[in-house]
Amino acid sequence: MLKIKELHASVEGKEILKGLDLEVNAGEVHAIMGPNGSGKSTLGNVIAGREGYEVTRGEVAYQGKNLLELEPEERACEGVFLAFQYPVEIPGVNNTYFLRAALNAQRKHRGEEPLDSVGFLRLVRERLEVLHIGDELLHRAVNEGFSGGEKKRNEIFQMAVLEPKLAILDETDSGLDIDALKAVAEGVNQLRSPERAIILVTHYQRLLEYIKPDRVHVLSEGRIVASGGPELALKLEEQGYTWLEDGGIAELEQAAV
Amino acid sequence: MNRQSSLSTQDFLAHSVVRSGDPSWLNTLRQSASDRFLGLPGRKTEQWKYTAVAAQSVRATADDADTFEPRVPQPLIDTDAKVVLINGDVSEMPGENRDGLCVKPLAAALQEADQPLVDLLESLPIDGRQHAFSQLNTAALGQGLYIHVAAGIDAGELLLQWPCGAEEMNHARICVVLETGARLHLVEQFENGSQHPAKLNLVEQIELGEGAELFHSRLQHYPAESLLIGRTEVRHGTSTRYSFTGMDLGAGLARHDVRSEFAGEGAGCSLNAAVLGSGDAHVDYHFEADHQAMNCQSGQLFRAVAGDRSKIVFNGRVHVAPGADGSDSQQSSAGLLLSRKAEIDAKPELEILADEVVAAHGATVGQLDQAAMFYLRSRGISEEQGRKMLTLAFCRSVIDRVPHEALHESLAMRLTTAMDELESGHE
Ligand SMILES: Nc1ncnc2c1ncn2[C@@H]1O[C@H](COP(=O)(O)OP(=O)(O)OP(=O)(O)O)[C@@H](O)[C@H]1O
Ligand SMILES: [Mg+2]
Repeated sequence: MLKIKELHASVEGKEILKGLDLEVNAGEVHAIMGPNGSGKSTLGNVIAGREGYEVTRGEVAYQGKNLLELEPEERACEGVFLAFQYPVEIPGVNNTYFLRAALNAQRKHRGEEPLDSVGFLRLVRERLEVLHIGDELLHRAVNEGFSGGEKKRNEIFQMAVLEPKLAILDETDSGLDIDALKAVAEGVNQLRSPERAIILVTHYQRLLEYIKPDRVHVLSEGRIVASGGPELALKLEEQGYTWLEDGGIAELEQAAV
Repeated sequence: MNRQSSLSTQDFLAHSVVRSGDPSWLNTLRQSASDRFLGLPGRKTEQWKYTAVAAQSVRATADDADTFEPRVPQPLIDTDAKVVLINGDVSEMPGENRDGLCVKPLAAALQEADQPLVDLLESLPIDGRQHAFSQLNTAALGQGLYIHVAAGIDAGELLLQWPCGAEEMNHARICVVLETGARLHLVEQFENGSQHPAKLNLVEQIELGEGAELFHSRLQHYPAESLLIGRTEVRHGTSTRYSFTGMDLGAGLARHDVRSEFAGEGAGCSLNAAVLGSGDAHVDYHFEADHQAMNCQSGQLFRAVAGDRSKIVFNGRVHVAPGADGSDSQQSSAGLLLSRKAEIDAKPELEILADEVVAAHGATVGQLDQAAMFYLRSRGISEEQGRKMLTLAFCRSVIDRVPHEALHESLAMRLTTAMDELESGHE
C-alpha cells in the first residue's frame, strides 16, 4: 500500500526527515511514536502533499504509484487522508457543505454520481451514530471555535464519511476525554479492513489499548530507529525515549536476532 | 489606458437645463445646480483622489447613434413589486401598488410638487467639485422614481432593475420617503441583459420618519467599461434604521457614496459592501456615518476581493458632532488580493468631536489563507473550488446581512459564478 524509501525532506531549508524507511501493507495498522520534533507531523504532511515540504531524496510509492507527483487533492481522491494534529479553522465555510464538496469531488474522481443533500445527510447521520457524535458540529463553520477535542472528533468524522484507503492520524488521541478517545478508536476500527491501511501517530500507549496495531515504529531525528510489535509501545511507555538512546536499540536488535 | 467609458460633460450643459412648461421652482433648482458645476473631480478633490474621473478622456458623444437595445436581465428576486428603469427612465411599473406603498415616475411627482418632495430635492448638498455628479444630476432632474410608504406600513420588497446603455450618461433620481414606523426593502439590480456598457449617474435621497426602517440591497454586475456613479443620502429621524448591503461584481468604474445622517436620537445604520474586482474594474465605496444626534449607532463592514488588474477603494468615514454623546461606531474592512496586479486602498476616517463615544475600526489586506487552502485540498477539493469557497467565506459576513433568504442565496451564487470570470485565476 505505502512504501517509503530513504526519504529526505526539508522545511525552510532545514532537513527534518533524514532517510526514512517505512512499509505499510493493506489491512495493517501501524503506530508511530517518537519524541517531540522528531518529524512525525512532517512525515504526515509530506504524504498529504503540503506546500513548503521539500522532498530532496528518496521515494514514496502508494498503490504502486509515485505519490510525490500528485497534487494534494489528487492524493485525497486516490484515498489518502491525513487527520491533522492541528485542524485548521475556516470561518465562513459550513462544515456540512465543506464535507459534501469533498466527498463529491472524490466521487467525481472515481467516476461516481455526486450525492445530493438528502443522500449525503443520510450518510452523515449514519456515521455520526456509529461514532456517538452529536450533530451540533455540522451546522457550524469548519472547526471554527471548536474545542480541541471537538476538532479531533471532526477529523475522525470526516474520515468516517470519506472512507480513505490510507489514513494517517496525527495525534488524534491527544487531548481527548475517554468518550472521545473511544469514538476515535471506534472510527478507526470501523475503517479497518483488508483493503485499508492506517497509521497512528501517538504519544500514548492508551490509544493502542483500543486499537491493536500490527507494528509499532519509533521515529527519532527524522528516521525510523526501531520497529516492533505492540510490546514496543509498552516498553516505551515504561522506559521513555532515553531508554532507546541508552542502548535500547541495540537491545531490541538483539531481541530480533 | 483606462477602459472605462468616456464622459461628455460639456454636452450636458451645452444646452439649457431649463425646460419650458416645467414649474419654475424646478427650473430654478436645475439652473442653480448647473451654475455650480465647475468640472469633474480630479486628483486634487480629496474625496475623489483614488477615482479621478476628470483625468479620464472627456469627449463629445452626443451625436453618436443610440444603439442600445435594452435587454432586461432575469429579476434578482421574484416579486410583483418591480420597476424597470431603462436608461434611468421608467419603462415598467408594478401593475398595482400594495396598500400603503406608492411608487410613481419622478416626472409625474415633479408636476404634482408635494411640499415634502420639493423640500427633499432642495435639501441635497451639492456644493463643491466633489459633488460635480450631483450638480449634473440636479441640472438634468426629471428621470427616476418617487417612492412613498405610509405610516405603519410594512411594504415588503420593491425591486428596481437598471438596464442601461445609452451613449450619453443618464441621470436618475430616486426619492424615498418612509413615514413613521414604515418599513421597506429596496432591492436594486444594476445589470444589463447584454454586454453593452452602462453609463449611469444616480442620486438617491432617503427620508426616514420616526421609527422607520429601510433595508437596501444592491447588486452591481454591469459589463466591463460601464460607468456607475451612485450617491445615496439617508436622513434619519428618531429611532430609525437603515441597512445597506452592496455587492459589486462588474463595471469599469463604479463609485458608491452612501451616507447616513443621524438627525434624530437613537437611530442606527449598518453599511455593508462586498466587492469582487475583475478585469480592469475600478470600484470605489465611500461610506459615511454622520452622528449629529445622541445615542446613535453606526456600523460599516467592507470586504474587497481584488483579482486581475482591478482596483478597489474603500473610505469609511465616521463623523461625530460635538454633543453627540453616546455614539457608537464600528468599522471593519478587509481585503484579499488574488493577483499581483490588483490593488486595494482602504482608509478609515474618524472625526470625533464628542465625548463618551465608542469607536472601533480595523483594516487588513492579505492573501488567501494557505493553511485553510491546504486543508480543503487535503480532503479532495480542487484548488480552484477551494479558492471559491474561501473567497465566498471571506465575503460571507457582508452577504449574511441581507435579510431576504432567496436574495441571500442568489448573491452567494452570483459571487461564486463571478469567480469563474476572473481572467487569470490566481497569479
Ligand atoms: N513550517 C516549519 N517551519 C520551520 N520548522 C518546521 C516547520 N514545520 C516543522 N518544523 C520543524 O521540524 C521539526 C519536526 O517537526 P514535526 O512537527 O514534524 O515534529 P513532530 O514529531 O510531529 O513533533 P510533535 O510530537 O511535537 O508533534 C521541528 O523541529 C519543527 O520545529
Ligand atoms: Mg506532530
